[in-house]
Amino acid sequence: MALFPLVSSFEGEVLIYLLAVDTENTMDEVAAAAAEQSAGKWVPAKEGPLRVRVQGKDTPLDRDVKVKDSGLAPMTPVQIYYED
Amino acid sequence: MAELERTEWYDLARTTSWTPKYVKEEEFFPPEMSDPYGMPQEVWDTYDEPYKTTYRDYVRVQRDKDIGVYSVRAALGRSHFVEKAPRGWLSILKSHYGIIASVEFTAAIYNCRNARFGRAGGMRNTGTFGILDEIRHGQLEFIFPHEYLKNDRQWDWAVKTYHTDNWTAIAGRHFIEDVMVTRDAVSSTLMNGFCLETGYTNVQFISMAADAAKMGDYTFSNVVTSIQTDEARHAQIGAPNVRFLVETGHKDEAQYVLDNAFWRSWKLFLTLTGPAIDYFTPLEKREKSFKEFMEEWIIAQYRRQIDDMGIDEPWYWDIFLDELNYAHHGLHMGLWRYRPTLFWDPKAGVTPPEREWLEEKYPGWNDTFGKSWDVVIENLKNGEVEKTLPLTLPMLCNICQLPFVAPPNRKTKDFKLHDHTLEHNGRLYHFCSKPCKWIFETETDRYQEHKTLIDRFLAGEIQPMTIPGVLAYMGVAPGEMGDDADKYTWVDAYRDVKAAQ
Amino acid sequence: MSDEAPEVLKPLKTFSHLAKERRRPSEYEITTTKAYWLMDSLAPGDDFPGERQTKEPFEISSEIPMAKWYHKYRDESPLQYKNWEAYRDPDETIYRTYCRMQDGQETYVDGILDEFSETEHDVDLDPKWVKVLASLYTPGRYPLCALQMGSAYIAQMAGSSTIANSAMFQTADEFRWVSRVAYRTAELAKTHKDAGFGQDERKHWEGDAPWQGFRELFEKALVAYDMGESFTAINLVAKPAFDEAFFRQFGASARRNNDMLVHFLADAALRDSERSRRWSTSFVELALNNPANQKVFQGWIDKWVPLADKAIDAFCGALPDLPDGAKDAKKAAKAFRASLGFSG
Repeated sequence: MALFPLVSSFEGEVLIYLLAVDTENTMDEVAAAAAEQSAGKWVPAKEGPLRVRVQGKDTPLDRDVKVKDSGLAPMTPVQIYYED
Repeated sequence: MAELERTEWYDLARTTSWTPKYVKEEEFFPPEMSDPYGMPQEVWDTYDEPYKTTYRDYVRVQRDKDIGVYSVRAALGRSHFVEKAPRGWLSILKSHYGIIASVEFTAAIYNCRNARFGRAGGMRNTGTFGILDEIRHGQLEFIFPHEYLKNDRQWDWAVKTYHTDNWTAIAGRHFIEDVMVTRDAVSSTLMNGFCLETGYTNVQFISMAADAAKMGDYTFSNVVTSIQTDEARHAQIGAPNVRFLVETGHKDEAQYVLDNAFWRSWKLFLTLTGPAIDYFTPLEKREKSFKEFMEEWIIAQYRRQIDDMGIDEPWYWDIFLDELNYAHHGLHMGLWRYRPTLFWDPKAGVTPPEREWLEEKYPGWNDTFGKSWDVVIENLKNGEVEKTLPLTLPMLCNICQLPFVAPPNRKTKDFKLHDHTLEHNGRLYHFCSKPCKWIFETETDRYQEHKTLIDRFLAGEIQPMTIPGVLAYMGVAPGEMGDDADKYTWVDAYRDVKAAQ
Repeated sequence: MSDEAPEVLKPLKTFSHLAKERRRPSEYEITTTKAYWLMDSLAPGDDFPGERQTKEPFEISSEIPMAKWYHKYRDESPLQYKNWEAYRDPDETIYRTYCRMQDGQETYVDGILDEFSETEHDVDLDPKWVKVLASLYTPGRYPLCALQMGSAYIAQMAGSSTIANSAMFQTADEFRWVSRVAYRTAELAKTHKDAGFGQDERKHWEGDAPWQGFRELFEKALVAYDMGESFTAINLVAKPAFDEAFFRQFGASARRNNDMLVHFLADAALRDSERSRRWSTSFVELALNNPANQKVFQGWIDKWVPLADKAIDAFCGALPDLPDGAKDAKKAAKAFRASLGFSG
């Protein structure tokens, strides 16, 4: 259990945020934490699974991989988007 | 009366340079303070300030100017403009005074640098007039908000702002120090005099004076117009130095400091003036949009001025022209979301008629920023104000200290929002744009130590690590903390629309 | 963190940093206190809740050359005091009173120059005295410019807004007299075409023996970059020495050589000098609240007075019909320092 900061860019957002997650969180939990900040607040809430992708990469990280096993470094910019 | 013509003695009053004998040249004019470009004294001796005045004329003209401005102040007590003025307009004044007043004084220190370390008599004298001008501007921008204090604690920030670690103060100090008071006298006359003052503020004051007059705020209009007449003169201090640098083979260095200052001035400008023109000013009083104002006043003029000097258009010009379409819309939304961190009450400025104006001036506004405001409006209609308040901190750029903004992309997955990162000495830096990153890479030693609010938060320097903790760190307390300028009454316009359907 | 909400701040009658004085502030205090953030590292930092506590002059970096300059020459100056912002200009000069006052003074000086030009004063000057003016008066714009530069340096290193404000107005005063000497130079050049007016000032200033004392004094004072030493060297030593020699004693010599114009201009200039001594006195009195500063000031005075006395001797020694000129100038400068509690 350890606090892990990420830089979160949520689809449809106008700003980039600081996103505090936990090393034990899965990518789904990371995405949910980002959604909590933006969906239904600054971005229309949408259905469909949310994926986490490292900025600049083409493919998202697996949904169930944990932060501590994901290879993510603190404050890595990630993009969270709705998978079609 | 056989008074001499000014031209008969003016040159003597600026022929005051001599060769030091008892101290070494580089002791008398240390390059880091004076001229690191090593331009020969023969060049300096040709310095000719474009805008000339004399001490005698200065004190006469300025005395009359102040009689005019301060007579308006006397009338101020009688007029209740402030009590009646729309809060959106008052927010323009509060943010202006809070962010600009101490900057005016700091410009007096910048001019003391020029008066002591300028290598030309004309530059030293122009700096001396600049010292007096900036004392005047600072004192005007303290005394007028002081008259409003009894109405509202937010006016206290005319003095308080830069003595706090509010994010606006950190951004303001970092920028103003970079272009005005932590460089040598030559570079700063280019960055502050030629770029910020001539390129931006000189012109900003003209437009604000016009808006204020339309608003019936004759006090502010009078103050701002009067300040602008001084600004036009002392801002000229840098013009000869741009030419000297180009002529003595330092064009690349001049190009860099000007491109640095233009971009950084743009960042301050879009944050302060963008929302003021496109969101705070009452709809019926708006003439030009912020973008139109920028195109007409800043872009055309600045391009002409640098062309005259043999300086190229900044390499990032296309990025700048692109940001012109969206950056201040994003910043405005950021300011409104983070209103509790402000010492003024931002006006949302997105009622249906205002959105119509925004769509007309910025085609596609409703499909991008409008979508985000729609969610806010929905929550406000349902009385869920807390959903429109921040839960976390925005990322801040390691150069301009401002949030990263972009129009939201919906169609494709490629996000316009991008964190330009750089690893340096084991630390990860984050930049809102290529130009900010370029500035960092060009002068890394200068910028590497500084920590943004986010860096401080992550380093545990802000305790407790909560939103109230951050607000306390920023020195903002209830009673001065920003809120929606119209206390959300503007949302009623949307309730009627729904009821009317 | 205690969970009760922080108290809601109510509107004030004046700025929060002045409110605790419990009296109406003057326009000077409203417009001149707490105006700069560059001095926050020297301030007590207890003026209002939420005030930042910083040890650095600059936000941007503590490593850049300018930060090192302020660490070395301001923050680590031997002259230390816990609250420089408490300094007050005894005249409480603000911009609009400065312009009104000096506009009036300049109108007075315009009148004198007009009157003397109408009566063709310059035509009647004794040729020997014309040489004195060409070698010792019109070159005065160079040391006056040195004082303009020195005052601007005191201002940018000042420990507070109020101190910077006083030094800034002094900078403008010095420039006032650079301008008036330049004006006289052009007038004299029209009447005495071959005396070198408007051409030879720099040669005199850089070459003539009577000037080399002041040249050494000013060049060295202008590189005494410590905040306290530059104030002492310039405001307590070099400026009094120069004003007594170049204005008061030159005026006396002029009165004995039928040049009442030099006398009237000198008398007008000495009004500005007195204002400088008034604010310098107020600054020293504040600094002496820290007893350690007595020795600090005295040390610098002992270092700089010999140079100033040598400068006075060289300059006043060259003024005609003034056997006691140097003695009186040194006495007056010394009396000013004595009024502050210093010897020498």
